Amino acid sequence: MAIIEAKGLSKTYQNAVKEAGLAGALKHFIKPVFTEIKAVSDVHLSINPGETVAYVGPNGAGKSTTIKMLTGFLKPSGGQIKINGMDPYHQRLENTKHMGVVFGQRTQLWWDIPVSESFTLLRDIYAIPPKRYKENLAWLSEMLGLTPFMGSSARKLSLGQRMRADLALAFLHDPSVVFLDEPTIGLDVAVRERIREFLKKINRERGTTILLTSHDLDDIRDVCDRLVVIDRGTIIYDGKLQALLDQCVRCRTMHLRLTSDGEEFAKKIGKHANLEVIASGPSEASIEFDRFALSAKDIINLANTTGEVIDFRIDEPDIERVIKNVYEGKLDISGNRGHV
Amino acid sequence: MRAALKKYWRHTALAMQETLAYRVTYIVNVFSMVVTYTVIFFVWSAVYAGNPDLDGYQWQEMKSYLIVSLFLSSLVSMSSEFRISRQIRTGNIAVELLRPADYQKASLSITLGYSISEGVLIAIACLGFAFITGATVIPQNALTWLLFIVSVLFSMATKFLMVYVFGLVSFWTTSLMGISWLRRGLTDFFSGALIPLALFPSTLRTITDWLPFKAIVWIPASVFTGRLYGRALTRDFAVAFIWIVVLWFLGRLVWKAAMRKVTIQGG
Amino acid sequence: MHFITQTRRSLFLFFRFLAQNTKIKLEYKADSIILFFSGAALQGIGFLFLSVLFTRIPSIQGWTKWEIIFMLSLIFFSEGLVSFAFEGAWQMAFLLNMGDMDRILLRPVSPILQILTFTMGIHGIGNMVMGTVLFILSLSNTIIVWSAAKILFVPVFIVSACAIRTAISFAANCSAFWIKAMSNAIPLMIFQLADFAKYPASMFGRAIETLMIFIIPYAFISYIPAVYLFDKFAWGPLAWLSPLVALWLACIARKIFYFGLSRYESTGN
Repeated sequence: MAIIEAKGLSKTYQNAVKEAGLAGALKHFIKPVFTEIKAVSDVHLSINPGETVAYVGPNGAGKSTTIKMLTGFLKPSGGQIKINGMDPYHQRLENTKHMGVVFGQRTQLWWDIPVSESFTLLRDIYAIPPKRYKENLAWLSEMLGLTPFMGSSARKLSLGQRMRADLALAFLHDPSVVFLDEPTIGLDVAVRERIREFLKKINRERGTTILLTSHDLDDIRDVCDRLVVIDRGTIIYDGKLQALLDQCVRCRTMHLRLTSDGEEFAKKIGKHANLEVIASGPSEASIEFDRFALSAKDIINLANTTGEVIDFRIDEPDIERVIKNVYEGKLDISGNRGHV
Repeated sequence: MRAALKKYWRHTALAMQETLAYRVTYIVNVFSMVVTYTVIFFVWSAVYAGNPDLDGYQWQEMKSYLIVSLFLSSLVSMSSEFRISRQIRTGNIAVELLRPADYQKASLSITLGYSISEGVLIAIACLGFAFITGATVIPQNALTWLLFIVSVLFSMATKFLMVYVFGLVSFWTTSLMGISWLRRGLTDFFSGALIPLALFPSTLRTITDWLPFKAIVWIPASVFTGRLYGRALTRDFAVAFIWIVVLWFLGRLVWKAAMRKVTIQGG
Repeated sequence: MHFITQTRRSLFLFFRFLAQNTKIKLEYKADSIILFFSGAALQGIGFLFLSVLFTRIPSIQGWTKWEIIFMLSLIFFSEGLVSFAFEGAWQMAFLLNMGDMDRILLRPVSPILQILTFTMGIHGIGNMVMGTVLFILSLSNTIIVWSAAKILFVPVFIVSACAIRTAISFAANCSAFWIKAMSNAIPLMIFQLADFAKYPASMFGRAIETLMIFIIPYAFISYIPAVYLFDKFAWGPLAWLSPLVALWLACIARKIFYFGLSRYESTGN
């Protein structure tokens, strides 16, 4: 039974179209005109308990809109969501008891009181039994190293400390699902590592389902085993991260140094199927190719028809490029073709 | 001298623009003023329904008194007070200090600016009330009008200085609100804005006679209705003037103390 | 059964938040003292005004000094209580525009409760003390023909008065859902209208009287209970409607809030 189930989810915003000046304001007052913006259309998402899912997409793709609907404080225009069998919007009070959220930009901590008091306040808000609270607090403090700053007020914490506290707060009440929105943004490498370790561990040991949005691809690769990509309001990829990477193992980038003019070479070669010239200069060219269709040798042979290859090197598959290609629609994920 | 005036005039002009920009706060202030006035008016109206003469004060005179009181109470309003505290809170004060202008003088110019733009609209509102309530007692000759204008200037100066000094307290506390309420309450009562000072019981009357608040409403309103003139007026003007001088220097003293605090504590 | 546990939990959390907020505010000792006294002082001025006024006249429209001070004390006390315990309502514009509403919606506690207890005002304590003092003084200085009903009425209408105040303040602050700017203009103006309730509504003419009784029923806080207790008019016992008015207003306030909230949730801040 899926723990997060979204069917046909959509969200349409209405933006007022207002002309400038007093005339425009009057016009708008009498007969308002709206344009519709489809932020999210027909999204299906099914996440099972214990999964770690990365939710990824360019800015404006509908990522935060989907998350807001899933967490229950944005009303969907259409479709259905069930989290733990409940509708997060209509059954908010009940649903939030089993849900945790971490916002990268905003904190759950009360600003003017010691961190420890924020914890006790949330303990009371979530009605956590005292014994369980003590256990969780001890465990979380240790995992995230909270003890040194428990007594400080939130305004005195560094970003890394604040984020660790927020993480602990999100998991304090044993939620079955936790949403994390850019949890490692702005943090240094050591803290990021620690947070990733924590997420993996808690997922392993407690089976907490995790939905993570992040621009940090290391977060995604390290913590999540599933990747959902959203672009322009629809999901364009949903599957194992590894599968996507494997598929993209098919795309390789080869950089060539030539005796002839790279641009001429690009023109000659460019029309060839299964490859794409991504860069060219006076004596060099870079080519992306599907290595199941062409071998490196094939490329070099092609190159030799126009000139001589002095040197070449091949890049390892880059997750960044992979995602970029997915965004740009260059990577056709529908099936087994890894067409570049 | 002319350059100095020009410099401070810029402050005034900018403040006038700002008031219109702070339309919302302005509307709230106006509304608050209207409500307060309406309440007071009806209370006195009811009082006079049962008692036609209060120690020589009759309803006609009271009506004019109340309108002038409204006018003066609304002038030099909260905008100035909150401006100072706002500047301190947002750190703009540092910028102000770096400018080659005396802060106290600059404040006065800005307050003047606020007062002019607010004053015009308040005056219109007061004329409206005068018309609606049928207040007919006004100065009878040019001299009285002149003395009235002088007393209004005294009133504005006194009020500004009170607001300024109280406002400086925000260097020491973060809640200007409490201080502001205290000042407003004290001013409303002891200035004669709610009840003409002449109607106060004798002990209180003596106290208020020597306080600066008197100049804010009582003196101008009484000049306007023709109750205060001649020797008594001269004496009152003298006391008011002395208070203005005292407050001006008090303002400088507190300012210095505040600056000391800022440099020691780094704001 | 569930309703009882819910209410108990809400009450518990309410006092918890209130205590927490008070603790924070009290740390600013100087400010707290100033606020406490200024709260009391500002109202004290109102009392002084009436005292001086009544040295000249015995009564206004048949109302004696202490009868009016009785009304004053109720306005003061209810205002104090709202400032003390429910000051959060005034923060709504801030909450909505600064994105703090999201945090509130993500917690398993009623958003209304969270908003009301978002902050507290120390000056409210000063107001309440002043209100209580004046209330007691006025009761001992006025002639009331006590009956069992009237004695029972006192706690009832005090609670209703506070509920009415809170409901009006909260509903007025919900205007923040529709007015995008971060301003408290509308709630402040509605708050200002309470000044009329310091005096007998009959003094103000039909229009204002109707406003105070039927539209923004501040009159039920002070005037109507006073009419009943002091036997001013035959319709005095209508004062027993106060709790109903309070309930009615609370329902409306709640509806307005959720209406505004659903709009907020649909347009996504």
